[in-house]
Amino acid sequence: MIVLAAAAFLAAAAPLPRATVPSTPASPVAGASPGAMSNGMPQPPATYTSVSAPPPADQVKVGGELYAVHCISCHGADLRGTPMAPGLTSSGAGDVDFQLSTGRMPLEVPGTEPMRGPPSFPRPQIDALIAYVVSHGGTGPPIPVLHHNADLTRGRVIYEENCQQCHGATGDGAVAGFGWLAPSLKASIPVQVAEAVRTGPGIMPRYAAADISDRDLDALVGYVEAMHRPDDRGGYSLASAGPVGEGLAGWIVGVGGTIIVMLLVGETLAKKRSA
Amino acid sequence: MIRALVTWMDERLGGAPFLRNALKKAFPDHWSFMLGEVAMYCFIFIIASGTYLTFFFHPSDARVVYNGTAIPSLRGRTMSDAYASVLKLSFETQAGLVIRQAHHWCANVFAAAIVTHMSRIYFTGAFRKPREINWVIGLTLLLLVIGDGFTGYSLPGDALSGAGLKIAQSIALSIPVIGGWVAFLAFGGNVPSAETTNRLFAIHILFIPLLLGALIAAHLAVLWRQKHTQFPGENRRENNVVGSPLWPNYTVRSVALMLATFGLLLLLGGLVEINPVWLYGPYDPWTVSSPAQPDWYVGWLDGSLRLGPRLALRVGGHTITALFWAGAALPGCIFALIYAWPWIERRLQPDEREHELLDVPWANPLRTATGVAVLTFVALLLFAGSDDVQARLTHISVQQITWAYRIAVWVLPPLAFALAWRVCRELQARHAYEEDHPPRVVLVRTDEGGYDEEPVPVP
Amino acid sequence: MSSPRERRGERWAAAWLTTSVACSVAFATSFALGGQPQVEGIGLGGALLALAAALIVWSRALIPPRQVEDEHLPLAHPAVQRAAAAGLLIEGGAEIVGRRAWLVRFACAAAGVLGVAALFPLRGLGPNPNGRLGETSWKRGLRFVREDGSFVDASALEVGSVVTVFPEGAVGPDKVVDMANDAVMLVRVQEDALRMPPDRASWTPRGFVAYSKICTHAGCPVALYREGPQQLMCPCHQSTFDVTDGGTVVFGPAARALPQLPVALDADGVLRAGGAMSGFIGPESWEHA
Repeated sequence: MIVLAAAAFLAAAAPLPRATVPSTPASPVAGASPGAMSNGMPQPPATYTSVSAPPPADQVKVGGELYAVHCISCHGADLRGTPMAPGLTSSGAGDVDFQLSTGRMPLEVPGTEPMRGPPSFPRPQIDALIAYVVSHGGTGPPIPVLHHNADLTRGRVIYEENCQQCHGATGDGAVAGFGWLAPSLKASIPVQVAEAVRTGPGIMPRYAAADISDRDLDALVGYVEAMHRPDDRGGYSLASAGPVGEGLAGWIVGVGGTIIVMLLVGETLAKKRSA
Repeated sequence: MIRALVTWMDERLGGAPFLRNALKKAFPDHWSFMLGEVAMYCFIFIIASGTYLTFFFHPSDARVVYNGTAIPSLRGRTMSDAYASVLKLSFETQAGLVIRQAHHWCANVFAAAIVTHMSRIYFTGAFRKPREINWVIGLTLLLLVIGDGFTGYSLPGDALSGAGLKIAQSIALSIPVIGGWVAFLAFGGNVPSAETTNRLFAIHILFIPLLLGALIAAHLAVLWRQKHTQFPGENRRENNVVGSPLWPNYTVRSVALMLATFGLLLLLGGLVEINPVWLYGPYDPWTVSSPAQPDWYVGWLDGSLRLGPRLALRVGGHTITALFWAGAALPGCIFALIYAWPWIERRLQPDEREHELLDVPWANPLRTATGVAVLTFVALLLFAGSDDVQARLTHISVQQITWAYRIAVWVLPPLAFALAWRVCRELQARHAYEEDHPPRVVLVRTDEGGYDEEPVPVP
Repeated sequence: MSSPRERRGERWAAAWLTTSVACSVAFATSFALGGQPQVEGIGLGGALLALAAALIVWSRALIPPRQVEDEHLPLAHPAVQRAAAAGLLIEGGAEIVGRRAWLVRFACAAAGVLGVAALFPLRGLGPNPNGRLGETSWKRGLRFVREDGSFVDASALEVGSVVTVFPEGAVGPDKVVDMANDAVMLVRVQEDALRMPPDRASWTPRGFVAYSKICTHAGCPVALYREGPQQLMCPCHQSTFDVTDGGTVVFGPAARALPQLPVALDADGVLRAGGAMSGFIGPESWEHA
């Protein structure tokens, strides 16, 4: 019974992203931008990778209507912001795509930490909202263009220098203080990782290209992707709880198991086996 | 053939009477008397598995470039030779990973077994005269095991244990007067020094195991000379000890326990991952991962650090630092209390007699309640050491959880004391009542003309 | 004749022994085929556990239980014997001392001096701790570099960014010990969010703020930057420091603010240290006043 309870505890210790459905990647566009990658990495809408091309007007209109229904109550008219939420004039395509495609926005309860969940909008509506924000003064980073970089060693170095202190050595997430959580990275897709790095959502710092170059970002994204399949050759990973889980297991299996053996061969005060 | 062997031995060592007495030695049958043996078998296993590991480990901080293929994300990475040798042992040596993991599991279980065994000794009063010597030896063994565990998991030079080494140095430095010397002599310089791994290796495989071996031998010798205690019961008095004979009954049981201990450790070593250093990465003094905890037998100390008071005292031209209270003074006080308990109890409950019969725990409320309070205190420190893991699981802020533990650690132990005291008194009262009101029977006539006994419920 | 209980016990013991053999064979086979940790663990561990189970059955069902009784003779012997033993010690000691108490004291003193002298080789175990505790290589004018030696200039960091920096010339695989002390967290915040004490007003040009990365509690790297609240947090024991007002402690067991490194920004956007650290880095120790 104790073993079951401990197993339940350790199972609960596995980080639970609120979404189990991976969020929809950006839809591929015909005539893709140069450097489009293979290996199944999604391509961003080509129209937003270059700052100078304006989005189609009807997309902006649709986006505006969606904004007026879902976003304006917190983010204010003309992206100005309200006491409940910041303005979006410094947000770009990268920010909006990240927040919407990971289901963080719209935020159900204002003032709480946005968490990953099922996206509230299908892909075309996300594109429309991006178009609206970008064309109304959103000046933040675009959706990053990713290239395949197989240098896992470099990716790991970047991860250990910049990411593991919040997201954990195994990418399972950890506390970021005062109720905030740096989330698990196990449900993320590459473009979302790149967007988070460039835009710094929530209390996460942001890393511009002069800090983490595009090439290093590609390597980092590749490493995060590789972390989705952790190398647990040693056996059951105890939900990556580290020494905490190991201590629990040592007590339960080691001491508990040997106590069972002792009870089988010895006596208790109540019951004597021998004559 | 056995007779020939015994004759051969007796002609050279004169040991026939000793053998006869030894084989007939009485071992009480209560299961809890075997807890110490679990610790002893852990010692045997850890020496055996550790010896195997020493053939593969390079205790060197020299920088090497890893070119193995087992971990693609570490290929081409510069790391210490120690870390590279652990990777090689884990992935390029057959059964290396199982034995390495079983060795580490054994360290966890060894410390847990000692604590459980010491608890049994404590709560039954087995440490009373004449057994104070073994109490002191036993607690020293626990401290040595904790030290060996700490030096052991710091050997691979991974990111997690590296942070722990730095913290340990900071605690050493906080000790007044001698702190700087203790730290630099123990670690061979300012961590990370080029000497640290080699220094820890010597401590881990030679210095502490020699002390452990000598003290365990002394522990067993004293136990053999003083003979076992036993629970009170039928035909059990202060001047005898009743139990199963060593041969064949007890030997079979004990060997079964030994095999089971080894089996559990190897099962854990193969099925449950422990200390996956390839996931943590090599140690860089300016990077760190989260969460960061030590093994559980040091975890209570980490909890103490997290809760610790922000209190620095200036004395003359020096500082008694905030880290000193939580990292050195508090553990020092706890262990001093545990060491001194046999004499403290004698002072509080004057008793100069020799004791061979044990107390059931509720027979001595002061002892039991104190033990429960101290265990509660240390357990709370241990849980506090994982406050950020708990915060992640419960989505409560780690700051609130830390404050909850800061309060709980002073409020709950006195409550536990009072509760345990109450329970002991209740159980004492019930036993006294049952002795004053032995079970009675009434005779009832049956239809066939005979008599039946019917027990009368105790009023 | 064996009873039904004994026969049942024999069958169970035989079954467990068979299981043990099977596990040992599985282990050996797996090993020969290249090995796999989980199979090896089940093989070897299972073999031992099955053997233990066989012995448990044996002990419960096949060995007749019996009790023996030992005597607990009192450990203490009659006073006469104790007096004799103590007397031997005392008499022999008196013969050594005789009337030459001064010589005995001299001998003890000589042994004591030898003991102290014999401890001197321990000095070679480590360097002198006094001196470089808490010092860094940072000096006015040194440029900020990353771990790989590349320079960090103002263009590298936007508001809300953070990077770990070291003094130029003090990075490299042979300088790990120095780098461990020198590590600095360089953060860029909104200038109007800064509330520095007056004597540090010039330490944070254009919102660049630099603090020692070594936690003043127990020495872990203060690696987390909480961008919105502008705090640096240490993951080991959750000490949290405010970036905007000189690194004061906001939460946690650290008792001392993070030492701050003045930042100087010249016209070309080059970032340099504007002076030395504001204090010794890392946790305090007895040595520090």
